[in-house]
Amino acid sequence: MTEIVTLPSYLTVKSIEQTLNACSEILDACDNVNINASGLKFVDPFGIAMLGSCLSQAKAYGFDSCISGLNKNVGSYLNRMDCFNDVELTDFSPSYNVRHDRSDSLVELKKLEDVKMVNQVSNELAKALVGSFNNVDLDLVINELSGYTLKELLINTLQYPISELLENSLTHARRNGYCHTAVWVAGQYFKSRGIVQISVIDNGCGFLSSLKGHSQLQTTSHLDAILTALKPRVSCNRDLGIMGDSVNQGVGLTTTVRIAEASGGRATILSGDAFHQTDGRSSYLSNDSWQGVAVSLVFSRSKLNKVQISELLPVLENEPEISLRFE
Amino acid sequence: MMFMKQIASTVKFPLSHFAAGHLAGTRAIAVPLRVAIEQAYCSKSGDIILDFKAVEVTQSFMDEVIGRLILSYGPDVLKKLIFKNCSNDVKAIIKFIAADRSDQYLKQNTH
Repeated sequence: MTEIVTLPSYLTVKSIEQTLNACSEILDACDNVNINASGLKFVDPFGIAMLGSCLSQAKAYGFDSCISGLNKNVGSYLNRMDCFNDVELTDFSPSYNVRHDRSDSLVELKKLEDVKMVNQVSNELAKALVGSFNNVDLDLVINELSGYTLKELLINTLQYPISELLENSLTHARRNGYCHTAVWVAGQYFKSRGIVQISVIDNGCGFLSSLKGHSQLQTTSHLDAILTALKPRVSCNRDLGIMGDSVNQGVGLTTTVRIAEASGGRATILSGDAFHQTDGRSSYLSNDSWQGVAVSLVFSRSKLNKVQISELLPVLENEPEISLRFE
Repeated sequence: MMFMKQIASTVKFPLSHFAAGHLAGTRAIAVPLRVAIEQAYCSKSGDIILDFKAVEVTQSFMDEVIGRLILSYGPDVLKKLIFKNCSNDVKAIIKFIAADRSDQYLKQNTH
């Protein structure tokens, strides 16, 4: 038997409830799925990563998905973003003849499963996004001391949060029995709005499971877990384990979100049945939930070069003064 | 260890070996560096120089290097380390990790 899922008009972070609802229907079908996309008008990197994750997971479970009713513009965009690798298309024929080179503003959907690839992939993603920031001289040397050009500075600023999020997904998310967790990432520079959007989605254990038993977690709600994870120095494993496992300081996600905010943007974090947006909106989801963590970051392109990591680290309180040798 | 240079008893590690572009990002990449530093420290070599020329780091990468060293050996391990050619951001990250992890170590190892 084949289930039918109808996509909403928008698969975006702004329509997070509708996006999650459609994705949940695909995954909860536990069967082959016919996806009706006749009403789909717009998809952002969050929607692409969520949809791509669901289609990939359905395929891994042995279920076939097909999409019908795509209009030409949306279909071409999704095809360009490599969204159709795990799905059959009916009544839409992707054009493979000429692939318009949009490597300057689009980052196609990528799936990662190997944490050793994160360093390289995060650099590639950042470079692709910075590629065509127009109306600026990217070769301008912005820092006389380091010799960094504006392009290198912007790449570093974007690469930092991408690296942190991808590694978190392939380490923290793999706890508590979720050892086969994968992560999906997509990004785009929207020139007309001057913003860069990056979305990182995993199908791992989620924040509540990761922080279970942590002293800072006051309740057993997913929203509380998200807010707790955002606190500086909250991590499930700050101490060295008996086996010398990797430790975490609990600062990576905090700094990542602060980078987005410092650039004039925002972060949206979804885990379980709740989401939190750093510009003030937090909510529980009435019917659906996400197994794992989904993060969307928005950066204002014009302010990216003003971000200074040194100003975003947590404030030290009563820690001892440590003598360090800098040369 | 191809990324290590040894002059007399001083050991030098260019961090550029661990960067993709100009950023050394992940804990996974940092592990072999930390292991090499540990070996140099335990073999009672001279100073251990970490050269950050044209390299930025994430807090995660740097914590895997010096944070874990502090948790294993105590803050005194920092006396052997020289941080060279650091940008302001790198210095701030190192100072933060050194203070945070030293505080954590001292609280766990004193009565």
